[in-house]
Amino acid sequence: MVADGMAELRRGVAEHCVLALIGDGEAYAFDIVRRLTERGLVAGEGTVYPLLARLRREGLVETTWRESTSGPPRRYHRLTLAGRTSLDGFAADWAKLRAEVDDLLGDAVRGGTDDGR
Amino acid sequence: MDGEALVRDYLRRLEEAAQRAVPDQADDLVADVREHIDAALAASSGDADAVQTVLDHLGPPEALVDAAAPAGPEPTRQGEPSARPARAVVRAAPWILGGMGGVIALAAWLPTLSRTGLPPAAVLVLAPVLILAAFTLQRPGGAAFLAAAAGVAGALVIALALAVPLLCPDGEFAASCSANRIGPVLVPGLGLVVVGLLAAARAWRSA
Repeated sequence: MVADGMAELRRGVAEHCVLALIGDGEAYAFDIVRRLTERGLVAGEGTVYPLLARLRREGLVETTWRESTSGPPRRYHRLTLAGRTSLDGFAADWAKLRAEVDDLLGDAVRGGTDDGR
Repeated sequence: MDGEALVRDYLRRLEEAAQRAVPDQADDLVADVREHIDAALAASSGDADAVQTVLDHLGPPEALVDAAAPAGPEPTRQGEPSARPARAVVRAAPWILGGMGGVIALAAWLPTLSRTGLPPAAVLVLAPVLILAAFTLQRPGGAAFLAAAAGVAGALVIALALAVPLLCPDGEFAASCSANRIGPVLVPGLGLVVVGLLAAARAWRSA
């Protein structure tokens, strides 16, 4: 159950973690995948690709092709205005959620809240 | 199985599973994964063990396809419609407007409507305006433009409708004159106000 819960949590934030990784710059899909995996934010590397495709379809990221010094041209991702807006919205939501959950967890660790909940 | 055969087999399984579940995304997914494998192998020895490690890290093809499938177990998607009904309406705005434009264009051909005195010009203008609005909403920045344009146009049309009674002659024909003219002019006016509100909601959402 704990492992499933973690997978659910990761799934809920993966999309915005991708947007955050791209940030204000441009990112190569392979690097996005590697960095997410290193941080343990995705279960399998491959699942990031459908996620990136969805972000492209939703207009949150756009891509440009760049020549590579080692191989075929590479597709780089960057945020659109909608992507930036979505990321900023998530950052605010996340801060609020984290504060509330931390607060509850703190109470739980101390042995419950005063009002009996 | 050598490295190349492992990659071929993996991509074949991926393509088959994707064609079954998400045919419109299959080509894109296979191309992305092929690029990933090439990039990963460029930094490795490229032998069968190295290839197998890259494929293991990718995960089974079925897991990738599950992640791409729209009905997949994704809590954010399932929670979205109930959590944000307004957003669903805003997202459907182009379809609502296109549908309204189509219905009004159809109604223009109904003899009952023409007997009510609805000016044919108003119908002929409103139908394309709504359909055009539906397309404009889908363009970046189109919503804000449309909100402003529809707001101004809607206000003008409603002002015109309210002015109609003043233009009708005095006497017993005044009532029927007003009824015949106000209604038909109010319809396009309210239509434009709806366009304006939907466009404003969409502009606000993307701002």
